[in-house]
Amino acid sequence: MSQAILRVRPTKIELIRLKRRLALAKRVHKILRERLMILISEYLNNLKIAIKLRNQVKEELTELYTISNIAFSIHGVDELESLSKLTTQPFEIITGTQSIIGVRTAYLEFKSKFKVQEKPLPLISTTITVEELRQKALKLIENLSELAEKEKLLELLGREIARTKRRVNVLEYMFIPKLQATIKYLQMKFEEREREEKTRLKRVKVVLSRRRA
Amino acid sequence: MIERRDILEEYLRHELRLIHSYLPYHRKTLGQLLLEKYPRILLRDGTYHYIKRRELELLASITPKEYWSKLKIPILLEVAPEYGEGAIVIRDPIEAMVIAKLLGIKHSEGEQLIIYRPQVAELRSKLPTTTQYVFSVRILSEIK
Repeated sequence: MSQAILRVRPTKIELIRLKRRLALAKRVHKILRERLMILISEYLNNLKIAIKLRNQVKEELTELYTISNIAFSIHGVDELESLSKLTTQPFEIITGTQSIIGVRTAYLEFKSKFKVQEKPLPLISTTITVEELRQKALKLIENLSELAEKEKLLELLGREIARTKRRVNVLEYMFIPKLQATIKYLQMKFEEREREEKTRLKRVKVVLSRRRA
Repeated sequence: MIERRDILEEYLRHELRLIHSYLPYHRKTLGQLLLEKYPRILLRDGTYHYIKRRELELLASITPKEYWSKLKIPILLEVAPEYGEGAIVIRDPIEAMVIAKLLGIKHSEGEQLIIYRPQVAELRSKLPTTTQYVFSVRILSEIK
């Protein structure tokens, strides 16, 4: 802990200024500490959700590969490609920004343009596997967009936590102790001056009384 | 030296100004946001905060229809260290009623609601874009 003092003029007005600055620093420290705690709890909550989502995406991908292999073996590459062209723009992803306790991050929202059951693929040459493949792929894209949003948020929250922690530490271990030490130094200096003044006055009094005598 | 000290003080004041830059200029009601194609709110720092439709639909499903024009979004979660570590106060009675209903907590009508860390975590996982943290006015006024 640094106990060095700030280089200031030893005046009363400077002492008042330092005291005001110390009060401000203490309150900023209190707010930043509260913010840090909220950021950490947000990070942990989002981490849990992101881990759950990532496991879900992994499972869905494995399932999707199996179904796509079956679909390819039944229909062949050409037929499946032509079927995929029939389903143009089945969904949209709304992008924007969102702010979580001052951390500005990406906003992604998956929006399916139609429900699969309402507008199925043409019945000619399709089987339940193709329909299932499409449904699972849509679900996977929805979860992937959510996962991307969460992982980006985690990265930004992590950076903000590190930044806020650094600021809290600077205030706690550098700025506030330095201010307190300077205030103490100034107070001691003023007390010393007062004592000197008292001694001087006493001495003058003695000298004057001697002269009178 | 004097200039450097002023910079430090200015930095502290700047930190305080930034604390609430992510809050909205004007809050919109649930009814208004439900009608928007892309529900969003303008923030004090000039950026937009997009709101998830599924959260609005969740709120609409638990809020009586007569309150749709009164329930303001985002719901403000006031950080209140005086009630304990991690405590959050919801001052608005309508917001408090809706949150209590969502979390399944007993709540007397017209009163503020105090929730703690596990409940806050549950609430934030359900409503990440329709709730915002705000620092207590008392803490900030002490600073000014």
